[in-house]
Amino acid sequence: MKDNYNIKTNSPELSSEQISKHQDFDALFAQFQAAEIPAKNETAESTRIRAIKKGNRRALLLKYGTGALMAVAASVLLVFMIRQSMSTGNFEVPLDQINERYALQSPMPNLQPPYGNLVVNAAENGETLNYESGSKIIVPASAFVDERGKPVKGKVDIQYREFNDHVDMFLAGVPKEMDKHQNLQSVGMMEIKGFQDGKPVYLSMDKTLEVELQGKVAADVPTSDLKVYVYGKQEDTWAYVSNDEVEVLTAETATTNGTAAKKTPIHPRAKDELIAEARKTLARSQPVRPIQPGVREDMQVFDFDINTEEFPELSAYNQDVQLMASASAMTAGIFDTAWNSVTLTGLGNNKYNMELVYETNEGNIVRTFEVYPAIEATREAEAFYLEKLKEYEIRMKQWETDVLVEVEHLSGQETIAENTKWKEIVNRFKINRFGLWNCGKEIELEQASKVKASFVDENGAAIAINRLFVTNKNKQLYYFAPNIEHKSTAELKYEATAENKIWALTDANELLVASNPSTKGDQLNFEMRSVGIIETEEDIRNVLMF
Amino acid sequence: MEDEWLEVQTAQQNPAKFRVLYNRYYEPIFRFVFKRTVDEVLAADLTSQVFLKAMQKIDKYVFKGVPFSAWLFRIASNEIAQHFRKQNKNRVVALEERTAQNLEDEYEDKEDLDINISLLKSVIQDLKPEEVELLELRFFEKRPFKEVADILDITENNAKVKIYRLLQKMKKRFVKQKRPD
Repeated sequence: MKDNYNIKTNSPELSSEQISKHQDFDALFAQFQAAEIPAKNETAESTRIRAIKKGNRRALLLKYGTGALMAVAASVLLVFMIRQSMSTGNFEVPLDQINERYALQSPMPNLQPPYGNLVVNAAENGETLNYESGSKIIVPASAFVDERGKPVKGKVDIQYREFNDHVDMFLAGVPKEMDKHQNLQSVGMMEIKGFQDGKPVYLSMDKTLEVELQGKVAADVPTSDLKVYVYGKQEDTWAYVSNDEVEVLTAETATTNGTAAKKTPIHPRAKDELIAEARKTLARSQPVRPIQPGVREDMQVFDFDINTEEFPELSAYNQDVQLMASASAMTAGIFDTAWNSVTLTGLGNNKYNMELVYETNEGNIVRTFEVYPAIEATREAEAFYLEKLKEYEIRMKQWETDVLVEVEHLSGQETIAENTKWKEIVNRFKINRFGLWNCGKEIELEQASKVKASFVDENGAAIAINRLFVTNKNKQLYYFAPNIEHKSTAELKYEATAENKIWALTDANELLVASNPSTKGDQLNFEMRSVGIIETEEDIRNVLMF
Repeated sequence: MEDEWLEVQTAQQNPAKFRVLYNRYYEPIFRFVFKRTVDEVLAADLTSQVFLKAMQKIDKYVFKGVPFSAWLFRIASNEIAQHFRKQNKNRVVALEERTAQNLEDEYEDKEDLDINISLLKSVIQDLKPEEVELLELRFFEKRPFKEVADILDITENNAKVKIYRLLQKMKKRFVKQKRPD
């Protein structure tokens, strides 16, 4: 008899009460909002803005319900008002401003760079807004109007954020698509929006905001020809607006005689590298995050005979610990094979490497997987986890302080060397509308070629990707290639001689990072490794930074 | 049914209004999924996925005489198939002792068949997935032809023809299995 179906007889009946305990529309609705459906961009954007204003990402989901209602109501009202204004010929806000109610589509909404909340206290008088990065926005008097073109009085909330590197751009979902915007370099990028009482406001046609945007550029790149671009969603283009007036920054430090001496500051990227080195130095003393009970949906759980003497951290929950790995990697063959040896090695951060070896006369078949402990989410386990998480967060704060002390120590030694690579700049320009703005220039990718790339997992099995991302460190470029057919191959334009970072998202939004490519015929093969569980922006930075 | 179309249109304008439809169809969809998974937790997960997809795609739903519930069952059926495909596992088929008897009653010459549960299991293993789906909808869940047709996005007549052919095909198998010589 064939075995095509798993036939179960006399399965239990569930009562309505049993079923209704799973019923939760509010949770579903929050999930719907977080999923960011392209067709609902404008609504999603509005909702997110409202939620982020509360400053609490957990609360964000709970707030979505009313937020969405208001957003939908606002957009319906908006359309009505636009029509009404146009019919009376009294329309004063440029249509493109209204239509550019811009929404970035973050691939990981919970991790996207948060907006800073700045308030123009008296929109009638104007004000200078200072952002924590050192950037400034100078708002003139009477700068804002409502959707009917009437001046806005009173407080205006400015939502503002900057994208300093490829990780920020990736997490925010910045539109930089291959074959469309790939050549646009970024030496500073920011997104700005204005609201009053939750409703969008617009820049008056005769007003501009002056922006001083902090940025960075490779030391050998001239800054005289940098330009300013604004993203237009309707045309999906970055439009040139003006030249970028760039000032290369120098910081003043007091000398012993009280006069000011010039010192070149440490560039943010150099600082990132110093932090990475300091972390490495102090890695042994870094507290270990407790293992969170529960199993992620895309994970396959399996039994494994763990020696808890070797891995004492796995006995913390007093459970028979199981392991889990990406379900897509754990094929039936893995379970059906009688492996000759199975080895588990700790990789840190609650991640382990499992190696399975099957010996044959022709050589060994080896399969390796990144695996994670699967703790059953009992009440006791959850309580224990929360208690340990608190302890961990306290110890982690102390450790981060230690890292900064180490960075100070290292920076004294490395300032000169790092400054030869990067320079910190201020981009000065004026904006005539809210939206997404970029400073940089179109770069010629002379060495770049379009290649067919294929993607395999660590065991050589083809792996389908949904979207491919590339960043070119040398040219400060970031772009992505959608893989509409969800294949394990994609066309990729990149400069092989440059220092690149390549990563991908699968249909299940699993983050995969590519290792150095190998060539096979006219095709490049990338080995994609799953990053595993991602909880924080730091998890992403650990794998995507150079 | 047309009142429901108004509710759908309201939900298309405002996703928060989907709650009415969700509350109405949660249990039927859950039972539909549970029958095809026999796993309460999995059924809860997949049911959530079904409604999430429905919310995301509700703009595409246009009332053309097919009830909204049939549209939901179609999404559920796809989600279930996708789940088993992704997991690389065989699809679950839930049988009950009485199912064999019920099926036997469909045949006029039932005394020649003597269908029991193990025979039925063996015959099901040889069926195509779309045939199993027909079997489940029509005979295990006792749905009217019209509803079967709506869920499968075929005409009622086509559903009747397919079910007739399926019964004939199964009959041959029952006879063959009973007399393997």
